[in-house]
Amino acid sequence: MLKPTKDRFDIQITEANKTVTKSFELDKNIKTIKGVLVTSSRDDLMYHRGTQKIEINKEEYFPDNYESKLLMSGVNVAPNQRYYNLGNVNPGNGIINLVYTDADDGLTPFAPYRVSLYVDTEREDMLS
Amino acid sequence: MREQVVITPVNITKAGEVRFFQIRLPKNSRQIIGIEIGGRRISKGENGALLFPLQPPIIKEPGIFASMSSTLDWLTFKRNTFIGELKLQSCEQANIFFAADIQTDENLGFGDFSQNSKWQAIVFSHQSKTEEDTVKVNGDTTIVQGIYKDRLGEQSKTDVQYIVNVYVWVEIEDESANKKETSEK
Repeated sequence: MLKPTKDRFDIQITEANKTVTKSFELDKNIKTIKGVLVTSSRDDLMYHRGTQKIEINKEEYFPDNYESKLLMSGVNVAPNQRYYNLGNVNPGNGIINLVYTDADDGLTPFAPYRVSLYVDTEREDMLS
Repeated sequence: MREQVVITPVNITKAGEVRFFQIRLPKNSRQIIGIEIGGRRISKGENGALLFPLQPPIIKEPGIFASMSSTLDWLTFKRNTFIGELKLQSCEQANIFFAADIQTDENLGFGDFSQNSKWQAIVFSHQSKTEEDTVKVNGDTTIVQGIYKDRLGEQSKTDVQYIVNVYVWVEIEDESANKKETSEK
């Protein structure tokens, strides 16, 4: 029986106008990836400055320069609606590659911030 | 069959600027299934004022009229800022298949009485979940023509520099899956 779960992966943005690349490995029990969501310790900075590429199992789902604001949901969105729906993606090798780029927008002064990628998944229920 | 997005930035530097551009679709596109718009400002206005996106007004609380001014603000329906007009045209039968007015949303906090001088509804706290606008256009049009007209600079009579990103979601033939099916047969 499959159980819905959420996984969170963090990266730290410590320098302005730099690209941070990190790979994350999903749990082996995850059978399906249903959606993604990005949040930040500084939502204002990520909204105005952030773009990212997301690859799952070496397959690109969001290319470079895909704005972070399009993957963010505000507090007025119902929790069950917040994730960007990817359909039912096979995790394959279970590796998610996140390439996040911070770019100056002439509006926000840079300060170090955290970017979190949340992944909506289904995994085998080990208890059943 | 899987989805892919093609991102095309449109740079605007002059007031009233009209930009013609082309979006080249992948060769194995089956159909265009969605359009999304994004963007960001890259310069301030003449007087240093923040234009796009607009910031919410700062509520000042000068004494006895404090609560009244706060109440009126979250009940005030503000005019949205008109940024520009976008049209997309297919080279096939669909012709112009997408037309949109791009504007800011100045009423994210409308009716939200929890706001005060220290916490107000802003785009990154109250933005709705964004979804692409669904379209259905034959992917045989390997090129999509686009036209964007600036209205923000035109109306404010100021050269505002910003980028509009046009996201075209396409459904593409999965060649590896097709090869696998052929070999199994």
